[in-house]
Amino acid sequence: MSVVAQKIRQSAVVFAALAIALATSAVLSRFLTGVTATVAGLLIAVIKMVLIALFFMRLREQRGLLRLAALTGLAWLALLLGLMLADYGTRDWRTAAPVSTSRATVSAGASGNSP
Amino acid sequence: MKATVSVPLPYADAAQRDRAGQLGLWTFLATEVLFFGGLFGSYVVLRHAYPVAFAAGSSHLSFAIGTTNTLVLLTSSLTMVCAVVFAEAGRRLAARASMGATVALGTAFLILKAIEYHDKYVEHFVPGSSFQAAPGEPPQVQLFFFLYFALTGLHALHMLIGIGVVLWNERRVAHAVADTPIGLSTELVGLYWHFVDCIWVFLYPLLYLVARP
Repeated sequence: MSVVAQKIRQSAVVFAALAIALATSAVLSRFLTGVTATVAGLLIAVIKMVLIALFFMRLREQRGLLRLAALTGLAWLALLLGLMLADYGTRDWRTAAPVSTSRATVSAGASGNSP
Repeated sequence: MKATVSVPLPYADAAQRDRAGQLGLWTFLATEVLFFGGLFGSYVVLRHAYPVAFAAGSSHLSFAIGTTNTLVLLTSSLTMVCAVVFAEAGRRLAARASMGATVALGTAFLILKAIEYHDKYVEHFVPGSSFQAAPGEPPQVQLFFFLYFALTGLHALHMLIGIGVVLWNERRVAHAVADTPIGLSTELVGLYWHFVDCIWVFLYPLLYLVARP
């Protein structure tokens, strides 16, 4: 088999795997609900992304530097989402007291400490 | 002899030129990840705050169109891979045909997207003064649709640019003279196309599969 035919055959196999992943995702969404459904959907999306990156975008056959550049994007995204969630996760924003009250508390505390 | 093919400065040889091109494109894609990342972050925060509204909003999207479009994009990635393989082998006609198929599939995706946008417009789901939440649904459904239009709109813009770049490369391959590196340019265009595909792979479960009845 020629090199071209071999490469296209490999890509067709990867495509078949992607199509199966899509079908699995679509079928699972019929049966799963809530957090389980979201986790399953995202997990399958990650599998698809890895297949596309490794085979279609050829990261599998690339050198370290290029793989590092590709991972950098994901590392930045992890930082962005991680810090964003750290913020929203710790400020208790949905149950927080009204701003005026908390300001009053802060100023009362501050004046209490001053001589 | 291939090794003696002249490569313009600043590159020492073709391999170095190719590596530089690939590294440049991957670096660009890393910034693109962040471009979409902000919107994905907003999605996570708002969906966590308004789970019921997001489930209601998602149930108004067309599962058939979303799933078909995912398959269309995955297929277009396959034809793009074929274009790269053919271009590298110097089979220009096959490469051009594969790029033509990629453009056709990309256009089909955008047409389906346009149909869905039109449906949402008619149903008053476009955020703004004409927005009307369905009876019994929370007003934050509008937030879901804001993110839906922002995410899919930004993605569609990337598709449009992708189609333009693939067409440009098709012309380039068609008019290529002996030393033109058509394999490299097709590979770089392909990297961009696959990236846009990857973005959609995540939009599909986040927008269309939130709460299927």
